[in-house]
Amino acid sequence: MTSSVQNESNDNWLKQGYNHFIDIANKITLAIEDGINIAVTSKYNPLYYHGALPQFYLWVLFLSGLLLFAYYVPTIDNAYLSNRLINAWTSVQYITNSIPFGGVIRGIHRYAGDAMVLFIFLHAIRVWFTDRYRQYRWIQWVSGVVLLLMVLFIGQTGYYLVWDERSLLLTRMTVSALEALPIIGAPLKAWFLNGDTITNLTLSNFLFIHIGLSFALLFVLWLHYVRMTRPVITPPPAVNFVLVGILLLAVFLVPITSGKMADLNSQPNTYEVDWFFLFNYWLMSHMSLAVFWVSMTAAAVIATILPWLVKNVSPPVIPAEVVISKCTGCSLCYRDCPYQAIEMVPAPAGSRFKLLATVNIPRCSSCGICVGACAFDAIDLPQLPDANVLSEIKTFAEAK
Amino acid sequence: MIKGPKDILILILALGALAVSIVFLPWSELGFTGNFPDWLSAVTNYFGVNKIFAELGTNKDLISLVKSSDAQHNLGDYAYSLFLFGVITASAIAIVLVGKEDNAEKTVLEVKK
Repeated sequence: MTSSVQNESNDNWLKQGYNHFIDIANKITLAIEDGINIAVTSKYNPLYYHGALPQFYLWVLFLSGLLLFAYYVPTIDNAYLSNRLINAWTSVQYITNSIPFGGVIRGIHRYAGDAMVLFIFLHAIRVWFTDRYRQYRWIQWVSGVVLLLMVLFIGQTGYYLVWDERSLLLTRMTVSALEALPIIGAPLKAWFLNGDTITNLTLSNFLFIHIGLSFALLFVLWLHYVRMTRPVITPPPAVNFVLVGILLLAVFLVPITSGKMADLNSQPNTYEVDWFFLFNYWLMSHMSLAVFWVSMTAAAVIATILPWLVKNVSPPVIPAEVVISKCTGCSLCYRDCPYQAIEMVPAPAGSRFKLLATVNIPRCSSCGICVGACAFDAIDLPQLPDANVLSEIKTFAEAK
Repeated sequence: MIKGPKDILILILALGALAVSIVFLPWSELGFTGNFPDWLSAVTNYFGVNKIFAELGTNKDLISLVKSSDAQHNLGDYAYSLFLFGVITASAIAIVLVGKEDNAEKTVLEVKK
């Protein structure tokens, strides 16, 4: 008895603490957005396109990657062609130094990747703090976590492709990490290297993963959008212009350069960490591989199941309810619902009407748009009856 | 499409930005040196703006700014990316200024006659 009271008290403390944190985080998020609204108006506030911006950068990455792909040679074996060394590293050097604007395009490709990760994190934090990731939005959240992991892995393979000393070190670190995994370690290593050791096939594999997985992003993006009727996927042109401008400025201020060509007979020890993509390698070099894998797996699992972890902590969404006696089956609510949460079904026997609106509870966000759409007062939010809303509006109008 | 003086002004500015970007392109391809292909030299001499280009190409401060940014080759490409940054940002500001009046709420339904 005492123990259950104690548990309940702990639960309440946790619940209040979490809700207090989310409340403050939400207020800070909205205050920052309000501040930017004052400066650039809500129409051009980039934070209102936090979901669309990673996708915008995806198009930039596809276009810039196309040029890089045209000239990239995925080999490591220092093959000679007419006395010229041709391999991955020299092809990247050729792109950077010899092709008109090759260095600029390479820089855009790199910084667009960084920007994409940055905006994905901003997007995730925004939907978390504003409580828009759970219940009917769980598909978006889970597919979003998968997208983030895919983007991080794709970015890392991009670092291997340059085939400088850092690429070699990262490849060897990845192989060590994979080998440390029980049972699946050996086959994963063989898959990663496309054989037992680093060969030309290894770089072909990296290039295949880098490009193939990038196209696979499109399928997961479809899952990400599937339940949204009108997702905002394109920022306004002015925002796009500014973001491309900032990319170009970054390319000018910090041009991308390669390290020394990778040499399989040497073992580089230090490398420059890119915190957007390579933070896990930094972690890997500061802890044992067992701790690394456990912490990485735990972080991914916790991020994925976050909507259910807070299920009993955050207040639930109370779905709209159809007043069957008043519903005429006119479909207005069905057309207006942004979450496809209303389904029109055949009206029950004896009804004067053909159709009846029903609420698909897991999809309902309790936004009230259907209540506004209904001309017959036939759909209600249980926690916010029409009469109360009308009296509030009346009081507000009279006070004015 | 063109409805008034504002649209004509936008068109002129857009064509101007395009023309200047294209004129700057060979300059950047020649490595930000101030040397131009013959046709561009002829054009810049004709309009009397060759001095500006020559000054830009030999300006030590500007060149050291590009070099200090760690660009090893094709300095002109990087300088052109800075130029494009300016053009694109200015265009964005122009779009915002022009589009500001569209910011008003437009959800009022038209009355059917």
